[in-house]
Amino acid sequence: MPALPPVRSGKLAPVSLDPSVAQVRAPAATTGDAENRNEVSTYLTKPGGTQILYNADRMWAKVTLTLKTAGPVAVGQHANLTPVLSGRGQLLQTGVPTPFNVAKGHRLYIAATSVNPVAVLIEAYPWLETITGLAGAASGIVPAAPAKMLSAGKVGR
Amino acid sequence: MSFPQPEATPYAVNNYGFFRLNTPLSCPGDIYESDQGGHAFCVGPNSDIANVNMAYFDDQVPTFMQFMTISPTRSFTGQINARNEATYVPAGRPGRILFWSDDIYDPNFKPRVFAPGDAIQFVPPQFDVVQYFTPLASVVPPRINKEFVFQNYVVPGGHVLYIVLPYYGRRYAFVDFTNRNNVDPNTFGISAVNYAITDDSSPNPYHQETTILAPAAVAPGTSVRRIIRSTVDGMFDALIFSLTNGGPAPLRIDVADQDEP
Repeated sequence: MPALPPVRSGKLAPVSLDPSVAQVRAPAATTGDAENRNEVSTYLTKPGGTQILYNADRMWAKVTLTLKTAGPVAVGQHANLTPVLSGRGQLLQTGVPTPFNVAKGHRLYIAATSVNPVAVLIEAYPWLETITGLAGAASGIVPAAPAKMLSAGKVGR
Repeated sequence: MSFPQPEATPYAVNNYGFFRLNTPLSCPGDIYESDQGGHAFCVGPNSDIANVNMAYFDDQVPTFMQFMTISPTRSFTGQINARNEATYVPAGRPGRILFWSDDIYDPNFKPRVFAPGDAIQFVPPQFDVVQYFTPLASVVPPRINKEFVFQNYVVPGGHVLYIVLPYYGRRYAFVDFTNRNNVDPNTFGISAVNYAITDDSSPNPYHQETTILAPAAVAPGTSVRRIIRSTVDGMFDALIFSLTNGGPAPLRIDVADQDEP
């Protein structure tokens, strides 16, 4: 009988399957290989309206954008960036790579008045997710123990 | 204009660094547009039109339409946005960048000596503008020196054929004509015109014509050469060549922007 593969825990923290319970997914304490992969692509802006360029639902990420044409193209974290020249977003400069750090749970939006190619490089921060997960777990344990010991009056005796 | 009109967006999508609007001009009213912003604008290398008008969206102008002219001696560097989301007033048209010829072109022109039964052929002016998508420190705008070559002609029997070549802003032309018809002479002449806005059907159109080489018979096997200089002959919108024989008669014309190419 062949050996079964080792059991691996999911990269996401466990969540309740009860649909009646609202919950926020806790940060994961481990990372998967896929989360270390960079995403490289070219985005073509759509005239009119504000589009979602990157959705950081699960992961912190550094998103670097390089406008290949003259634009104007506005980028920001507000859902409505139009009019493009209104200042609600940051205007990309042609040929200048511009990084944006997008925190978990946020989005990066983009708006333009014409079709413009934008080079997109998404570099995830999986270690930041891990650190947050570990810090969250640690914060739930460390403060509790001394408080209990002190209240019991067993310290220093 | 060529149809469909060249569009700027495919150039941008295909990662070209520029948009080239290169099309023959069919009438002086042709207006072209670009829905892409640009960092530099200049007259293209193959342009016969010397002066190109540009319009772009400017909030400080009552109609929101600001004008600029570029030429082989003056390009423009600096970002201009195509304000597709805004509209010009009162036309209500999108605030794109517009291009059109500042030079007059009249496809209905006929020389004063044009007689019933004569024929006229136009080489339509090429309208060539380059819009760069990336910043440039400077743009080299001069046009290429063009070469036109003709050899055989459809000349109505007993009449004259006129060939009209664009010459906007040119300062030099070399004309070389040889009659290779071994039997008949070919009456060859050169004139020039500066177009005016006029009614071509009237008996007295306003165009200004200048005779450069009076029509004269060119015997079989002989040649005529003429150099046209802006400092000597002036500057013209078009050169007109007249012939009376179908050839063969090689006619070569080189035109340049510099008086001493």
